[in-house]
Amino acid sequence: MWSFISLVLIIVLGILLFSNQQRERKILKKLQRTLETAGDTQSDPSSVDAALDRLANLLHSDESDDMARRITVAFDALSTGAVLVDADGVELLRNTLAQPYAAGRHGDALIENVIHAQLQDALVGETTDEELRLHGPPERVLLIVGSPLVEAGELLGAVVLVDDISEQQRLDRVRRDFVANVSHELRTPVGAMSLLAETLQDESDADVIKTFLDRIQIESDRLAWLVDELLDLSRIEGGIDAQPVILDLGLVVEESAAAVRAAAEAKNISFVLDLHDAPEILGHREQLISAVTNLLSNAVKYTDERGTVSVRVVAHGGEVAVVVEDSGIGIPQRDVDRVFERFYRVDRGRAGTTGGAGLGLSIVRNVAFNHGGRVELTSHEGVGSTFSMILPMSGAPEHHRQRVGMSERPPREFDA
Amino acid sequence: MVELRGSFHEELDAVRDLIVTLAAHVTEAIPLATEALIDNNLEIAQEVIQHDVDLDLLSVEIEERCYALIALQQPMASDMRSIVTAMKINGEYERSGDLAVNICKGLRRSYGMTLSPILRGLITSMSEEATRLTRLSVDAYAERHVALAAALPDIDDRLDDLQIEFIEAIFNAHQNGEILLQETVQLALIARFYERIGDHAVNIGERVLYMVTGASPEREVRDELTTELHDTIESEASKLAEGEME
Repeated sequence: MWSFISLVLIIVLGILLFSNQQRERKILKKLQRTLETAGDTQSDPSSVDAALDRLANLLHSDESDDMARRITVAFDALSTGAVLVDADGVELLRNTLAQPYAAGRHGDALIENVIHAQLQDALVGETTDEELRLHGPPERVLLIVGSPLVEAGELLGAVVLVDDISEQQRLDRVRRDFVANVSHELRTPVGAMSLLAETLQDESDADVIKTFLDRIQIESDRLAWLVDELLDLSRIEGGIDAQPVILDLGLVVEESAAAVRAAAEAKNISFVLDLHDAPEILGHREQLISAVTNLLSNAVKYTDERGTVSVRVVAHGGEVAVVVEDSGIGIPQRDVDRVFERFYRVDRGRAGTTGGAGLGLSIVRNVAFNHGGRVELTSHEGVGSTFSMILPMSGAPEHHRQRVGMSERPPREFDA
Repeated sequence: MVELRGSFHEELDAVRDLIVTLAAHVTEAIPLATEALIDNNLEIAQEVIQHDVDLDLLSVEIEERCYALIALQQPMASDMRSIVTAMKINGEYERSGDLAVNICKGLRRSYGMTLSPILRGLITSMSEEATRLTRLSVDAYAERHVALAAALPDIDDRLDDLQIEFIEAIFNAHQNGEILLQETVQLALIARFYERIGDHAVNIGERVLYMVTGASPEREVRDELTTELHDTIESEASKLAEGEME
């Protein structure tokens, strides 16, 4: 009888000591097992004592505590959300990343829904995975995998892991598109030339031959130009070898503007320059002219007749921005983050009419980066776009060139 | 008895969580429908339409749980208001989900139509506003945020303005021969769907105000009308009386 009372006392103590639900369950299970052993050996008081001793040791040892804490910390360090339940579906552990999903709202509520469904499947032994795309904001793609935890044929519980694969998917898409686009850009002139040459073999009319040869010349020029562009880009991407010099940014913009003024006039586009604020900066003339020219020619290209393109140079707090604003067709929201990728095109169908290889903005971004700066873009479809190339007034910081090619570079989506 | 109430409030929380889930589904359905519309993507449209069945089932479950709560617990005062609000809001979200479906059906009817950048831009803006309003409405509900609930009608003004701007833009596009008459009508309807989603969010805001404060806009309107009626009757009566005197 006394042993029974002690057991009950220890149960109560155990529960009081281990307020944490998870530990409480563990202890209760162990207590239950001990009680069963005690029941079986009622006739042998020494074995009841032994069981009680074991229980007391268990309750007073810090070992299991330590272990549980270590496991929790390890789970929190994961870059994956994790939810662990026991065989009855009672939650044992939810790491920091998975915390917000519980009682979350919007996208999080939907993630929690999937977690629950998968836990239920896992508890009947099924492994499931689901890719969940959420529009947000923020836009996310999550891979949610649920699997049962089985040891020696016994179902111990289940775990669901939530992995944010948004960035991975983005890079995959960029790589796929890059390969497709560059092949397309190179293939088109080559295909045309091969076709023209084939036709020429059976042609005797001098006029036709002349026309075809002209076409071949145009296509091979296009190919050569494309390769030049690629080489330019790769040179710019490789960083800068020459020392930066002091330049008048106003002159750089004026020189770039001169290159596109004729095209703007041909479309009756009002072309506004505001350079009164333009300072001198430390930089690389050729690269800056190439970047600004690219921004301006894009602005003119994508603005309809009688639209407006304006360039202004604004100095502010140690930085200077070359802001190119147009009243053009604008860029759809989902493409805004992607237009700086090599060969990326918002509208493939328009590529033929506007020309260009889709490398311009990639060059702009790299030039800005080589100068320790960045490019910002805001755009509304049907309203227009504003590109700002923001550069530090003092040129790229000293350490910058050493770091080129490392983490400081703009994300390199794919190496040609 | 205390325990009974405890489980009542747990059940009430469960209903709230289900509504949050329903709203989350709707909040995802709106941009998805827009994506279908802008990309002329029938697969996505189909996905939105099929998924709406799940939303309807969820909505039915919420309603049944509310009935059970009323029948079994006989709630009073604020508890009763919470349940009534849950039922009303449930209907509003369910309707918003249907409107996302309507947008997809609008796409099917005008499949193959090319939209100019300005129309695409306006559709994207309307979709963003409608999504934002729906998100804010559920925030107001879950947090019992009176100030946010009261602000929803003013936030909705922007969506109304966008709709007007869009209608003008499609009329212009039609006049310039960019889109056919049928397409113009479909687009006008689609704009109306977005605008209605915003209105549902505003209704939800009103319901939240009622849940938290007990003030009902309908009752206020009714009281106002009754007072007006009384005033008219009184003034008419006094006029008559004056006439008789003369």
